[in-house]
Amino acid sequence: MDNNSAYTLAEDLLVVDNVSVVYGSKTIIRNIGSPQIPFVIKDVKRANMQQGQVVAVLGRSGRGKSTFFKVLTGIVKPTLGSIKIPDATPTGNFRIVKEGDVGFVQQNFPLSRNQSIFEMLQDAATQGGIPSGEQKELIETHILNWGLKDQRNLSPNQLSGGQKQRVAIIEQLLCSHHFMVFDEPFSGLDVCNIEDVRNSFQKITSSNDISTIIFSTHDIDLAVELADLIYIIGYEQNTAGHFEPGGTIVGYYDLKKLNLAWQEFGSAHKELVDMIKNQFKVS
Amino acid sequence: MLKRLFTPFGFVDKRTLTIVGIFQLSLLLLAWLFLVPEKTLFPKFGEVLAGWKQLWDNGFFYEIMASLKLCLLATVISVVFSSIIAYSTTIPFFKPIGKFFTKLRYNPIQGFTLFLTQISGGGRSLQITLLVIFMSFYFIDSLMVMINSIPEEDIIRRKAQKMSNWKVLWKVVILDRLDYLFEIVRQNLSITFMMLVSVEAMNKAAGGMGAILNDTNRALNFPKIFAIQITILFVGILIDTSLRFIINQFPVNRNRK
Repeated sequence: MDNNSAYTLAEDLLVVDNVSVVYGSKTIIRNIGSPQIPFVIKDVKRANMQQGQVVAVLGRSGRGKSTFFKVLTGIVKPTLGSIKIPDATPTGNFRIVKEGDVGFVQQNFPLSRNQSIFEMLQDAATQGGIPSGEQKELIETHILNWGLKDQRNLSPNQLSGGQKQRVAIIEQLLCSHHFMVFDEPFSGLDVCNIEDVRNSFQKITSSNDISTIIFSTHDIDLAVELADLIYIIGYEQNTAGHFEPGGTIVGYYDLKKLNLAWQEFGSAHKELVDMIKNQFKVS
Repeated sequence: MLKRLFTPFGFVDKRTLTIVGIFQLSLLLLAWLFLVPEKTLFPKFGEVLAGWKQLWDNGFFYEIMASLKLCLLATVISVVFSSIIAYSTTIPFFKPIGKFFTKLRYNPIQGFTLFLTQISGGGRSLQITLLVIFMSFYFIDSLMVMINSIPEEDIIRRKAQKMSNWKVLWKVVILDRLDYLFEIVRQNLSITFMMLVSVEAMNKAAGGMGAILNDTNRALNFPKIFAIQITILFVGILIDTSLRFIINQFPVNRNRK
């Protein structure tokens, strides 16, 4: 392991504990975070740098990724199991995640129809408990850092897709903790917007040691390039060769352990992409 | 250009379209001026103008104001009532009540006039009551359609910002879609305007364009009837344009990038 890849793991940041979601008789997801394949995000430490994490959740359409994200963000209560994050108190205890603990940037970056960017961010800051006297300066800083100075007073229908996404990200930065879930952030974006999102990821993860991005995508190459951890949601095959109902974790790759994280995309990454593609075919 | 004007989905700019509209209206006016036969009940343009002047000299302005006041009062009461019913349908307990109101659109209220006269005390109050009831059924239906079409992600976004369900209702359903409320009023007001004339005819003592129209109809004074009809049309268009102006002031309707 070269110095660039050297890291240590510290305390747990987010624990998915045997989560299942069932609507009526339909199982959407089941046993995510089982003892066999734990879904635990730990704090990663690297020398002389703030190292947040990027976690990719991959899987074919209809395998329950979006439902899993809604559970992760506390929007949907799981039928079984729970999502736990560290309590804010110094006791070291964990508590069950609730709405607003985990930021959620949705696929189409929904924003208010009738508010300016500044008004939307002010709402988010108020929700985040930022004192009103500090809000303006903080919002202005974000607007400047994320290149939205000229769009400050515009409404969403006057923004490009990339600008909308940046507003959606800042909203979550202002009102959530250090976790941020992105549901298919690269879907439908052009190459420049994709580069925007990459930069956003970089900006978030380098802002704090425990900043964590969890995202889904259908672009496996991009996932392998950006992520430190990859989970694959799919249907498990039983002994008779039939799919069990409900998406569950069928594959897990720790790119840090594989010495692929934080490295230029190379042949080893390509091999992993092929491996994941093959896994898709049977899940 | 000419080919595009007569081709389905053919693109023409706004200026050309305005010119075409003015041309069509001029044709209609010319036809009215020159093609109406001498011996017919259909009034000539000049007769209508003269009829309108007579009406104006006899205080038609106050009748227009009386109609506008009735329309405004009934609309405000109806919007408040309908909003309370429609917005409350986001609370499961009140959903059936909202649905019930929308079904009442199919129930003519004429049969309840006597009963409503007793309740309201008749006169102006009855006019307002009838209009409010009539309008509310349509407003509630349109508002409920709007509420049901709010994308789930808009609600999730606000919940992810730690907003309570009550605050989500305020921010997402009410505040962020206030322009829709005006749009719904605009779309349904034309039906109300037709109803207004009938309601005013029920109690002529309170005045209004409907009351005058009813009297003029009985006298078979066609030039005046036309003058009143055209005035009602213009007042309606004025209200429609005013509401459009308000709707266009909302940020969502600002010039798109």
